[in-house]
Amino acid sequence: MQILEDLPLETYTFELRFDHAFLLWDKAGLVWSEMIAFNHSLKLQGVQPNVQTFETDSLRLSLDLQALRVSARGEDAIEEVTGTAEKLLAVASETINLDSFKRAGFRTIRTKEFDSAAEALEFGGFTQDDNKGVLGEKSRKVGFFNSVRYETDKNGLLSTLKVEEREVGFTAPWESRTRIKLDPTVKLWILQADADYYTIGNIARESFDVETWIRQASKTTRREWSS
Amino acid sequence: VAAILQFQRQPPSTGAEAFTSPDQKIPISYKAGTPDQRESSIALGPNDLYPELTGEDSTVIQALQLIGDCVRRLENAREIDGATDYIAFDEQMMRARQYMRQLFAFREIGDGFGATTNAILWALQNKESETLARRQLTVVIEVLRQLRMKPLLHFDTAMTFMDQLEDCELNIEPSSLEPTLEFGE
Repeated sequence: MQILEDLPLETYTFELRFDHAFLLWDKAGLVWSEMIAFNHSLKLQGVQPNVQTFETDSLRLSLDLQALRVSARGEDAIEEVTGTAEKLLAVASETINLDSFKRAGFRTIRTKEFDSAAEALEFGGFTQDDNKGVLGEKSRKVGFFNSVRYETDKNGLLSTLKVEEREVGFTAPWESRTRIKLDPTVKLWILQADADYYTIGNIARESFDVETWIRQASKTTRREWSS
Repeated sequence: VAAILQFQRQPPSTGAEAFTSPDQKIPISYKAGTPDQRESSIALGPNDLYPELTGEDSTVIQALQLIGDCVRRLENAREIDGATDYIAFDEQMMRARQYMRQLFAFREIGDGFGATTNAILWALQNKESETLARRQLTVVIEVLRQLRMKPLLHFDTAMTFMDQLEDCELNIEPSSLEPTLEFGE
């Protein structure tokens, strides 16, 4: 079962966690000015003293008192998440004095849509049955999960394969002056592979190379999903 | 009409249970299952962060391997008495200088990395005609070990390494620059 190759990418997410960086209260504007100079497409999505979020069509960046995160999707997602994370880390390290980290994480989510649960289950290698549950004749299974967590004393990998129903609806934003709100009109089934590779231990900023570490995380994730 | 797409998902079963004691003012929180995040105070070095990568995967890994090779040559040299076995000593030092020249090519890793490798390169180069003291070799080895642990070191950290090298009477400037510098003074 070649899940990694067969499922379309949904997102890559890189995350670093650290002790409270209170300088964020003073210097958030400086961080984001530099990030916007780096990528002019970044648009403000949410700003509060404790957390700020900026996005483009393919990127989402957030910085809070205890973590920075970069998510990317699309064809160049791995390059985007790597390059942007390197820049955000460089700027944040200098500006809000990040010199060590409690956890680095790299999460890959791949999702494929299906018209029926049976197709998704078969593709994912789940055991099929009559699709009835223990709650009576009317009950049905609406989610299938298979998770495994591997750990050493230095790193870990949480890998989840799941099949679940997804409903898609449309709501017009308040600014559009319309009151259109469509209840979920599309119901489909998704098969989702989700792997979160992470470190356990303290990481010195001067030891940590984003690109190299993401390569390490990708290599481990690929091996897990191709096994 | 602009529209936003909403995904409404069934919440995944986490296997977690919450429990609050009604008899106590302070709620007791109980969660079953594997903790989401295990914390550890262990310091992670390059071997822990990039355990499976080879030099083909990353220039940083190539550089770390070269530092390891260079340290081994310098340690070999430190074990040899240069006064009585100069040829063996010099062979190890020639290899070490060769690794340092290769390492300097990786200076794009960062300003601190470039400054440190440049300083060690010239410290060894300027001692070509005479043997280094064991004390000096020990300082160079220690700086290289630190560099291996912190390849993305800040330039300020590199300055402390350069101070350590100069404190043990190693000349970290290109020798050809000396007349120019003296003229400038």
